[in-house]
Amino acid sequence: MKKSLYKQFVLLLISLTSMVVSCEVFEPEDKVYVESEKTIAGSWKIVEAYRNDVDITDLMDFSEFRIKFDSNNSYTIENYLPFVVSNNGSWNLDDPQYPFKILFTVEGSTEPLVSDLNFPIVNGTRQIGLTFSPGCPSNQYTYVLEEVTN
Amino acid sequence: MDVKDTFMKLYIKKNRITSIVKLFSIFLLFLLTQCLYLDSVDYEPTVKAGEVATFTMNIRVEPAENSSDVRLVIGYLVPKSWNAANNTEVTYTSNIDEGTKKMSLIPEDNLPRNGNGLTWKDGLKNKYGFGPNVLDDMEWIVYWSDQVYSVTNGEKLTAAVSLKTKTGSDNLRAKLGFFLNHTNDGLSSSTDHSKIMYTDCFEVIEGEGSVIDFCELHYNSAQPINATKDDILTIKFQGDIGENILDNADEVYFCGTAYTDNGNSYTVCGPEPKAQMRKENEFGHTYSLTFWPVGFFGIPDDEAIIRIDYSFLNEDGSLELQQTADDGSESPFLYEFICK
Repeated sequence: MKKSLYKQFVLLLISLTSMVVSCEVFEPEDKVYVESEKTIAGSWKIVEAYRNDVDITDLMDFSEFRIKFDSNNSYTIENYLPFVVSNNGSWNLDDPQYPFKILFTVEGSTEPLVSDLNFPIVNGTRQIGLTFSPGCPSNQYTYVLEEVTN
Repeated sequence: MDVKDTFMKLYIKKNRITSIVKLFSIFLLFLLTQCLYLDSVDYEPTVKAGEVATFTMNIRVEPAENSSDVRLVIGYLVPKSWNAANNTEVTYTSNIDEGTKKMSLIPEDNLPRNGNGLTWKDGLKNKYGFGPNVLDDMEWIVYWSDQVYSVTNGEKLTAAVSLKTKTGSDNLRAKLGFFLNHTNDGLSSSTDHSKIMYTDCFEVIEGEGSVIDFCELHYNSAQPINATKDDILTIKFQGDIGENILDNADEVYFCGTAYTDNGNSYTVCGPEPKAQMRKENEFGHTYSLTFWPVGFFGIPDDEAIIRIDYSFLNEDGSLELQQTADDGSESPFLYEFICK
C-alpha cells in the first residue's frame, strides 16, 4: 500500500514538472532566417566524371584540369578538357541563395551557356556538380568538382 | 488413454492443420500474384533505315484482386540515335476496349511507386541496364495507357500493344527490349507484376556508315556512337572474344590517324605512353583507351575530325591487329564522327 502511494506521488511530481516546463512562455524573436548566398569563388578540380551516366573518372587523366571562379564573377580555365565552355569569361548563378544553374558567358559573347548545377556538401566537403554537352548533344557529361585547397 | 497422450495427439493434429493451411496459403498467394503476362513480341527482323519498324507486344492481364486507378505501363529499349521518344506511336487494342487506344510518354515528374525515387526510365536502366546488348548507347522510353482502368478479380484481359518507330539513318544491329508493368506495382521487385522480353538481333539496313553492332562483341568497340571532336571517346580492344595475334602481348598500344575536314591527317601510333591502352582487369585480355580527340591528336581549333582509322599494336609494334574482311584482306578499324 505504501509502495503504491509512493509511486503515485512520483508520477504526480513528474507530471507537474513537465507541465511547468511545457508552460514556459515562448517569446518569438523578430529575427527571420535568411538563406545565405552561395559562393563558388576559388579554384576547382575534377574528382568524378561521367559520360552518359557511365563513370569514366579512372579511364582518363582529369587531374590537371582547373577552373578558377573569381569573386568578381570572372572565370579562367587551365589545362582544358571538354567542358561547358572552351574559353575564359564570366559566370553567374541563376539564384545565389538556391542555385540550380550556372551561366557561363565567354569573353566577346553576350549569350550565356547554361549548365545544370548541384551544390552538395559530401563528407564535409563542398562539391559542384555540372552537367553539360560539349560535343554531340546526344552525349551528356557530368563533372563533380572539389575546391583545390593547396 | 492418459492426459499426456491426448495432448500429444491434439498437438500433432494441430501441426498437420497448420502445415495444410501454410501450403494452401502459399498456393493461394501463387494464384493471387500471377497476373501479368507478355506472351510474345512480333516484328519483322529487318527494316530499311529511316522507315517505320513495327513491334507488337501480345499481353494477358489476369488480375487476382480488384484494382482501381491503374494504368498499363510499357518500357521500350532502343538505340539512342533513333530519338524514339519523338518518333514513336504507341497504341493498343484489347478485349475490354472498343477501338484503338493510345499510350503516351510518362511525365518525368511521375515516379514509379517502388522505384526508389528514380524516374521510370532511370529505374528501368538501373534494373535491367541495356539488356543483352554490348554497347550502352541505348535508352529506355516508358509509356502508359492514356486510359485509367479498374479491374476485378478473375477477369481475363488480352491486349496487343503496337509500337511504331521511325528508325534512324544508321546501319545497326540491336536487341530491343520490351517491358510490361502497371502503375499500381511501379517497378517493384516482383516478377509477377512485370515481364521483360528482348528481340533477337534486329537489323537496320541500307543506311549510313558501317554497321554499329549492339548484338555481338568484336575485337574493337568505340563509344559514344555519336560524337564530335569535343566528346570524350573510349576505344576498346576486346582480345577475349577469340584467338588473335596479340594474345601473348604484355602491352597493347593504340595506333590511329585522325582525318579532318580540310584534308589534314594527324597520327598517334604506339608505342608511346599516351597510346598505351589500359588493361581492364588482371585476368582478361580487354584493353581500353579513353581520350579527348582534339588534345590527343593535337587538332587545331578550326578543323573538325571526320574519321579515325585505327588498329592495335603489341609493345614493339611488330604485330598489328586490324579488321579482316570476308576475303581475308585487312584494313584499319574505322570510327566516323557522326552527330545526329
